[in-house]
Parts: sequence; structure tokens; C-alpha cells
Amino acid sequence: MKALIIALLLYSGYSASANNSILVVANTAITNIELNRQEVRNLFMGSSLSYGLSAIALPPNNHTRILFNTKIVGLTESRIQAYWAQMKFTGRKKAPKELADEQLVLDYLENNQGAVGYLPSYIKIPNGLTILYEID
Amino acid sequence: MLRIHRFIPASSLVLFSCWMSSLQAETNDKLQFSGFARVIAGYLNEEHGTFLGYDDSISFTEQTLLGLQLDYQVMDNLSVTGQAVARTADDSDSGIEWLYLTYTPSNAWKFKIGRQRTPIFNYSDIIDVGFAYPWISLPQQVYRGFLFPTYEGLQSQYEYVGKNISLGLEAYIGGIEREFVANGQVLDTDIDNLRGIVGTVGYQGWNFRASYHRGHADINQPELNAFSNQLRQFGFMQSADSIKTDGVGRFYQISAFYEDVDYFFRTELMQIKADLSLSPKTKGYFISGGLNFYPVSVYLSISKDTNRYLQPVAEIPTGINAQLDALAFGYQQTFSQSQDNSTLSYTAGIRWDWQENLALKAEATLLKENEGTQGLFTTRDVNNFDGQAILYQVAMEWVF
Repeated sequence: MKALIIALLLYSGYSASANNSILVVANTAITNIELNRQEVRNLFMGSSLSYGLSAIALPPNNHTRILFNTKIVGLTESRIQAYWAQMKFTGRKKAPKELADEQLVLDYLENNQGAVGYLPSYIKIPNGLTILYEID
Repeated sequence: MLRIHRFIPASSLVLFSCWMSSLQAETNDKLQFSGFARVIAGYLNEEHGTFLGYDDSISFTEQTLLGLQLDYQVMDNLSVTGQAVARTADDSDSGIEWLYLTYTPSNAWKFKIGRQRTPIFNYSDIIDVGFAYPWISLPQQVYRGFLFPTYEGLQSQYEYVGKNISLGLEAYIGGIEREFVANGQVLDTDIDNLRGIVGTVGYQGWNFRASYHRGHADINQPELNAFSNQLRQFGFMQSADSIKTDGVGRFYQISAFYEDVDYFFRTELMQIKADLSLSPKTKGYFISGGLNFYPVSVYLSISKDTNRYLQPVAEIPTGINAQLDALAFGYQQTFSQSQDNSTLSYTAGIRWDWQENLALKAEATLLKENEGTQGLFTTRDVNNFDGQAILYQVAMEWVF
């Protein structure tokens, strides 16, 4: 399934501009944070880490989100939506704020301290932002 | 026969949901409307028995419902939430399921005070939101327990997120006085001293949960109470005491869920110990596995339970006079609806996530009574029914 999704993305030419690497990027004063995959997953599934970071997501069907779901979260979009329904209607957690595309995420990260988002590696990351995690 | 007139409320729900979707767009960040709807059609291939209200005619209304939620952010760390559910089934209760204030003093802590769903099993507090789980009907061998579905009180949640593991702890305390519907019967119930603790561990794709819940239930059944008093007047104390409309219920639950992009596995085991005539000692579990072919997933489940009721005592002598015989007969009759049983079901189903907030499901469940005749089917023709039937269901699950 995972291989199939990635193969489909490759075939569709989404990744023609670079590879399928994903960067997790934050606007944070603490620049020596290194997260592992599990911590990144928790962060985007509604758990707050001790660094005071607030997650920003891309919308469903965005190809960067699909790669992020597959490589880091390890769930299909359907399961992620079901999870957020469960969290919302039991008052446990709130889904990350969603922005329409990668450029808007980048703009938001630059302007909001504590914000963390995921971006494709071909996007040039400005100096003020910190890369917390990278996956090929 | 298709019940057209009962389809009307179901279609009204869908139209209302559409209206709510447009309303949602108009709200601001502080005030948020959201909701869920499920339209379920079911058919039982058995003319001599019914299950969850389903019989051998297609029905849209047994489990169809609409829920609306309103969240208002009062301050940064204080919000208020209300959730009302409207159901179409004749013998179920609609109303406010959640109404609580949330205080979030830190990222790790959360406190909720007000009316809430009791988080006894994994899906107990989300049972109305079918979009959140794969099945159409949750495995009844675990999820039909009727004691303590909601409470009014205080719940605290704590979460620890480590490098590789996350831990959650929830504890609550409260009670409620409310009418509940169980097996088509309206029960006026007073629950007090309800408390519970839930621990969860998340590790990679695994999620483990263990919980313990305890509460005192007083189910108002005037006829049973009057009969018990009558037995007492005749001096049959043991018999009078054996008809218990109030008592303590204890729930024990453990579960292990695993999921990744390709497949999922879920199992949940529970035990209920209750000393009420109406509520048996129960052991139940389900095991379920499925495969994802996004946006479609398929699954199989097996679930089983055994139910052991309080037994009548042999105290009232018979054959002495007609009055005592009648009393003994009446006493035995009060236990006639609570006989030990064991049930088994096999489910195969498919879910198609058509839109990001809309799923279509189809499911078939073979229901089987292994022991006893009162485990699954509510009404029956005892002479013509072997205690086995297949329930077919299709569903549309929506969140907005």
C-alpha cells in the first residue's frame, strides 16, 4: 500500500521537481530540537510536546499530506479523518489548523512563533525557520 | 415491505445536515458548529425473531440519527461544549448527550465538568458517531451493556508524550438520574457514586487501553419493588432480597489496537460484575482484523459473550395452598426474562470513504445463540426459531 501510494505519486509527476523527502519545519527559538518519527506523529495527531509547538497541516488530497500520512503517521487518510471525528466528538483533541497549500504554510510558519508544519524538501526553507525532522 | 413513512425522518436528517454544513461555514473561530449523521438500513433474514429492532423487513430507522455539536471558546483555556442527538428509532431516547465545560490549564492536563458520555469501553463515548469506527453496529457482545451510558460529573485527563511512547490517564466521578432505553424498555435509573479510571499506552501503531469503572444503580421498577415487598410481608425474606433493583456494577476492560497504512487489528475484552436482577455477570470480547485499500477497507470480526444472572432461591413451598402456589409462580416469572445465555457473532464488512467526511458501509453479521434463548433476539417465536439469523446492514456515515 505504502509502496503503491508512493509509486502513484511518482507516476503522477508530483515529485518531478525533486524527491519525496518531507521536512518538518518550525518557527521556534529553541533551535537544537531533534524530533524522532514518533514525536512528529504525536505532534500532528494532537499531542503537545514540551516545546510549545502548534501543528499546521495541509488539506486532504494534498500530495505532501499524503506522503506525510504514509511515511510518518502511518495511517490512511480515512483513518486519520475517523480519528479526528473521535477526538472532536469526545472533546479530547483538536485537529491541526489546515492551510490550503505549501506556500501558505511557509508564510504562516514565518509569521507565527511556535508553529510547526511539514513541507516538501524542494521548498527553500528561510533562515528564520528550523528543520526539526527529515524523512526520505 | 419497505417502510416508506419511516424513511422520511431519515431523509429529513440528511437535508438538515446539509443546512448545518452551510451554517458551519458562517461561524467564526470562537463558536463552532459541527455534527454527525448516520443513515442505516437493516434487514434480518428471520421472520421468527427480531434483533436491535430489525426484522424481516427493511428498516431505515432503528439506528439512524443526527447529532449536533456546538463548541464555544470562552477564554484561551476555557470552552463550553454541547451535543444533542436526535434518533429515529421508536424505542430510543433523544436528547442532550454531552454538555460540559472544559478547562485546559496546560498541555498535559484537561478537566471537563458537566454531562458526559461514560468512557467505559473504547467506543462507548463515540458510539453515535459511526464515522469513527469501521463497523455499522459495534460488536454487541461488548457494547450492549446498558448501565451508566452517561453521567454528570468531573473528568480529568492527563497525557504524557515521551520520545517513543505516549501515556494517557483519565479519571472521572459523578452520577446521573435519567431514563435510559435498554432492549426497548424504558428504565428510570438513578446512578450515584460512579467513578472510573482509564489508562492508555501508545507505541508506534499500537494502542493499549485498560480501565475500571464502578457505580451504584437504582433502577426504578415499581412492579418488582411491590412484589418484593409482598414477598417480605409473607416472610420470604431470601426471595424478597433476591429481587434486586439496585446494586453495584463493576466494569473491567482491556484492549489492544494496531493499525498502519495496510491493515488493522483490534481486540477488546470486558467483564461486568453486577448484583442486579436485570443485569447479568458478563464476560465478552471481540477480535477484528481488516485490510486497507484506500479509500476502501474490509474487515472481519468475531465476538462472543456469556451472561450469568442472579438465580432464584427455592424458598416458597408449593402444593400447600393456591395463594402460595401463585406467589411461587409469580416469583419464578420475575426471573423468566433473565436466563443465562451465551452468544456468538461473525461479521464481515466493507467501508468506502467516498469523501473525506462521508463513508459508505455494508456489513453482514451472523448472529448465533450458543446457550439459552435470551442472548440476542428480543422477540421470538420459540417454536419456530433456532436462535440463528443474519443481519444485513448498509450505512451512510457523515461528519460535518
